[in-house]
Amino acid sequence: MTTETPSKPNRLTGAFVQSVEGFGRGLIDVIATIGGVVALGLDVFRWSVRRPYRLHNLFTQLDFVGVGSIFIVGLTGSFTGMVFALQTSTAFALFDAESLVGPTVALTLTRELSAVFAALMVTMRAGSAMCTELGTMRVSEQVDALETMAVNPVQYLLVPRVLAGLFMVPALTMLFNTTGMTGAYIVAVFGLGISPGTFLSRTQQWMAPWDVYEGLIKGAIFGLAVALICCFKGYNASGGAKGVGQATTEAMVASALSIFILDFIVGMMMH
Amino acid sequence: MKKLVTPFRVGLLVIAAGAFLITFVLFATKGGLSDRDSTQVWAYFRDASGLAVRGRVQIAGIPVGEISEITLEGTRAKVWLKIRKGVDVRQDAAVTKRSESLLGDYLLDLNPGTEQAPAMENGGQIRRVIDTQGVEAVFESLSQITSDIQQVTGALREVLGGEKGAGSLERIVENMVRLSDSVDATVRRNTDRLDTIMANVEGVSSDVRAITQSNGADVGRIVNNVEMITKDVREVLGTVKNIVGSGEGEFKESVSSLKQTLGRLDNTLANLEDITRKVKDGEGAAGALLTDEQLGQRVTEAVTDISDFATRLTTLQTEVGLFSQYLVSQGASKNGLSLRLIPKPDKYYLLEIIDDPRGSVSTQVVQTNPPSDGDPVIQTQKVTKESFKVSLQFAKRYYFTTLRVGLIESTGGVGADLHFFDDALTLKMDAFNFTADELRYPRLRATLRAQAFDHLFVVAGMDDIINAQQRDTATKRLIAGRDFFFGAGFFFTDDDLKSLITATGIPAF
Repeated sequence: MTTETPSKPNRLTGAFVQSVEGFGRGLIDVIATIGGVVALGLDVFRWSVRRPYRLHNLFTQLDFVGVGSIFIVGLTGSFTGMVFALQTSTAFALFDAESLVGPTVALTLTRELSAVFAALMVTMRAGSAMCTELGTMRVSEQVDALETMAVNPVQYLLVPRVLAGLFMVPALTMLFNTTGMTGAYIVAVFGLGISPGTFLSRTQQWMAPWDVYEGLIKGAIFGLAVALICCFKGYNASGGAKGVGQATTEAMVASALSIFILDFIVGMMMH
Repeated sequence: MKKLVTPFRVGLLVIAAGAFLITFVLFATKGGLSDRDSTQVWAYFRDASGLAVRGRVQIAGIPVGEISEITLEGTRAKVWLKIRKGVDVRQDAAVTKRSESLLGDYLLDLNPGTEQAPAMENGGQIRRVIDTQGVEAVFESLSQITSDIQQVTGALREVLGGEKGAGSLERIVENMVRLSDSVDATVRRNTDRLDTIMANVEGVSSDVRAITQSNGADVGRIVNNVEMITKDVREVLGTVKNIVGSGEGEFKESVSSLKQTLGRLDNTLANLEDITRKVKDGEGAAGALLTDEQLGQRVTEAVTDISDFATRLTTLQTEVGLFSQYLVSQGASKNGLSLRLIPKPDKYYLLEIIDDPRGSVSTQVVQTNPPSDGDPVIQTQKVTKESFKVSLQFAKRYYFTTLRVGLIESTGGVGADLHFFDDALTLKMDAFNFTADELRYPRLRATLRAQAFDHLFVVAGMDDIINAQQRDTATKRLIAGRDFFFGAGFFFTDDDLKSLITATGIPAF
């Protein structure tokens, strides 16, 4: 009777196999997260139209997400506009075309930057808090307690947060537009000596209402996505305090990535 | 009350965001023209690159509308324009695509048309479209200049190329090398001589100064001695007269007086002897001039050098002339002022400023669109402008032939002159304007020039020999093509000018 000794894989082969396994696991996680977020979104939509309407919870979240982010969004917007005006004027001065600073800043802010930056600020400030709060409630079984009391946790906890993200990010986008253009005007007119008439007339010439609408639509999409992702990660957190921390980190990374990916997709669809 | 704080804060944010949104939308809306406030017209463009929706449409630099839509129709771009109501656009309106900056931005300049034409209806078509303006026109102009230069260099290559041309070129280069060496040597030699002249002049002036300063007493004494001599001679003559004219009794006194006179004459002779001795010894200025050979030689060299220098300065000949020619087909005269600088008999530089009734011609492409669908009509407009033309040529003579090259009437060109009967009769041939759009072939001109008197000449010939005649449709002015001419002119050399200036004087300002 002969016995066959199984060949032992060498170290290189083992590392390769582990890499492939890790990549596959990550891919599955990403797809599962996307599926989970979409399913959660449908669930939130379904529960948002059902009674009872908890307006107090909704206003609390609107206040937390929107009003609480005014300072950081306004500050970021004004400095973004100023820096953008400064750098574009340097480039346009090479071609004696400084009159295009206003239109360039205006179109960039209204179409792209305002929505993206406002969503990123909300992600960092409010999204992380949402995720941590929901994760803590999940690991401390407060969510289970709500279910025990016949209160649907999706309607009670998630619907106000997701609606707050959906409505407040566009509002913050408009705030970002205003502070950004104000900062650009100050730098261009008072700092660089561009004529105020030239700045305003050329901006007016090139900017169309649709540019502003495009930014608002993007803001709403980004707000919805950020709120859903953060709620999903927090709502499904497990593993105690460490699990909550990990869920928050994953929520931040996924939210930021989703903002940029969605920006590209929506921008491509609109143009 | 506490319950209302949160909704109030949220409401404030929403109201503020709504106000910002309304402000932005109103601001952006004002930038465009609504259909109610505007008239829509359209035009076909062969090339709409650089034009963009919401691009400016302006009259005399003032915005009066914007581009509302750009679509492709066949091979043409159909550009819709919104023109503000109140702007009186007529059916003969024209629109020009013009570059706004070096970045490639373009705007449309609208010429609203004339009052005689009917008003443009809403949705009407602007049929006159002019493009290729601005930076592109500059580049095109540069391209034409480059082509001109290439033609001239090509002609030179044909003349100088090949073994024969290479040999000529080699000889020319050798001549130029010898010429430059000669000039260099002449300059160096003259520099030394000038130095010598200056040194001599300095020495002479120094000697003169020394004479007037150190030998002033001797000169004074010489003058005194001469005065004494003349005084003594006058006295002697008076005494002799007295002797001849008086009686015997007075003779003794006369002899006595004569003795005294002779005594004084001895003194005078002694003084003269003293002077001649000093001259012989080289004392004083006169003595130095007569006895110092080196000083005399230096004075001679100085005089020679000054004479040579003046001779060289007078070898550069200048000739100033005026001429006028009547162009038969043009029905107008062509006038000019010429300046010929002749450093040597076999070469000269010629500068001419010419008032040519043909003017300078530039080309514009105008696209006119048909009323119905169909291909547009591309027209080429030639715009004639009054301007002086400049000729600047270098000429070199070989036996009875003179070759010229340079600018002829503000374009590159070459020419050749054949001289007969001791230059009394000259046949001149010019070829220039190689790449002008209005000319199918280069402009060739043959001129027969006869020297009637010393400073007067007559000319006759044919201009633009091989091109057919073309006239400006508006002014009927001949802008290209064959034309006969005849005329006359006169010229002055610098000798004549010197005579004139001597006779009339230089006006004082």
